[in-house]
Amino acid sequence: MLKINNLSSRYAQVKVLNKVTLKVKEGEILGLLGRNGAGKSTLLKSIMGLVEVVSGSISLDENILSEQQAHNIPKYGIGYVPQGRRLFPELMVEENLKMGLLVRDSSTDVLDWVLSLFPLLKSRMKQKSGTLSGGEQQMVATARALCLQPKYLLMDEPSEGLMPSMTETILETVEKLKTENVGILLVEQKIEGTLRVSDRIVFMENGSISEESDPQKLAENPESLMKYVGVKARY
Amino acid sequence: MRKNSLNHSLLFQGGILMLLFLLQFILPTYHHSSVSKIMLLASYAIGYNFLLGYTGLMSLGHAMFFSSGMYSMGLGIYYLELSPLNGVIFSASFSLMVSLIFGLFALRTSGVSFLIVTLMFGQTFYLSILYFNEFTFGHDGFSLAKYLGSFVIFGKEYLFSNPDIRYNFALLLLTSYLLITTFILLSPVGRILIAIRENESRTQLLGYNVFYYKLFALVLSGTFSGVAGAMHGLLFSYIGTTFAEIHHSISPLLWTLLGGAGTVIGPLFGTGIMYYLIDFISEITKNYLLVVGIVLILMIIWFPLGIMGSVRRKWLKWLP
Repeated sequence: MLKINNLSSRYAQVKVLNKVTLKVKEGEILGLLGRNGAGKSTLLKSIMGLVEVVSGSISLDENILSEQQAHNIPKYGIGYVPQGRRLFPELMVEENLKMGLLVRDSSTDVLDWVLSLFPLLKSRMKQKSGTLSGGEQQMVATARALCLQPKYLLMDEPSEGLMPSMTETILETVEKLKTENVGILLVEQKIEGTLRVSDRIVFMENGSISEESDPQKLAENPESLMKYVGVKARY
Repeated sequence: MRKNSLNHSLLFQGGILMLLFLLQFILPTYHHSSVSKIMLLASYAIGYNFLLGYTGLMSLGHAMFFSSGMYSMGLGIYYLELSPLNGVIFSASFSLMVSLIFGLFALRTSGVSFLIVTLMFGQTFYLSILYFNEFTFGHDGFSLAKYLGSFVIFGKEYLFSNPDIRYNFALLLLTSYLLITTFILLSPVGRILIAIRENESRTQLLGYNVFYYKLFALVLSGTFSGVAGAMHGLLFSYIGTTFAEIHHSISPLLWTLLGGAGTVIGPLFGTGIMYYLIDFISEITKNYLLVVGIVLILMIIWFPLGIMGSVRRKWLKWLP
């Protein structure tokens, strides 16, 4: 289980997260919602060791991740799909994916499994990733993180800037990963899709967890959605 | 490793090296010597390019590596009476050590800070050579000619200053650098280095310790530069502070940018073009640097990725 216990973290002198406590089970999809600046992306970056942890801890099973350097965290089984994809544009799709495989000496079976989730990429393997469309780049970014065979996948606004059909493809993949027992921490702005695929929803406000809710209940009683993200969802 | 890319690269580079080998039989004496020098300096630029072109770290202190190789070889022969071969091995070890120590400090920084740190280290090394002038012979430098002796190949005796020896040793160094660089860059390590250049934090988040990879690139770059400096000292029999000055750090940067940073063969083209450009224009005017500057600006406008970088983008996509 991925446990975040009383976590506070900061950028330089600015405290961004304040005593955040969360648990994510394997195979569970946790949707993280909140307004811009609420601390959602910072929480993911803190888990990945990119933001200085002031107090509290992050652990995966028996391992304390908050004591590790950033480059060691993927080796414990945490994959990260950052906002804005951040591919290696000069490398081919195949090379981008192999960058993920090399870290954990994963076999080509893993690559086959990843490509079965994103069949479109099979025909793009020799193409430089910088020349792909936004949706295809998002697929590569997600596929590359999956090449690490993660137990948990942290996804930061995977549908950002994508057309609806591509967003749907990404969300379908998230649902497929749930069946593969991959736990997912999903930060999203597309509320309807997030409510549909998530098992639990957590709202963040001013760097803290404000409320935890059931997606079904939120759809029926969208007051929290109005309060924390300022929209009503069509569900 | 990308086999197609490797095969194409080896054929392409093999063709250029074969051309360089054959040129020695037809070139007049002056150009024969010039091409020898270009090949040595291009080897230095290949070392420089390994850092700039494949990890994105720009240095203004590479003259330190070049001169550390040159001085360790020269002083080793002068004071320790090393053989030329042992002198080169000693210089390789010394420049490796210098670049390792330098890297452990300098790689704590990045971007402009890294540039400034490299500049400071380079200048410190240069001033140290001048400060310890009783040991290093300061500004005057020293000639190695009478300490090098001769050596025998196929029963025939040669001097290091022999133009044919100079040419072929320079060609040998260039060939080995091109081969080593190509193999590394087309291996998984090379892909990781390119990934660091493209997006360092993303590479780290995939689980790679980018510090060690950058240190590897810097040490290889520094050692390549050091051995190039040692070979320059050996083949031209002169060790001097000119090679530790700041302009000798800027030169490989310009050669690399002109030829194409991040292309294996680019530094050879950049060095050759720049060498002959300066050579040609300085015959015409004393203000040759002004003209060279204008020509360089025009070339960068026409070839923003450098000559071979542009060639790769337009035609030879497999070029490493």
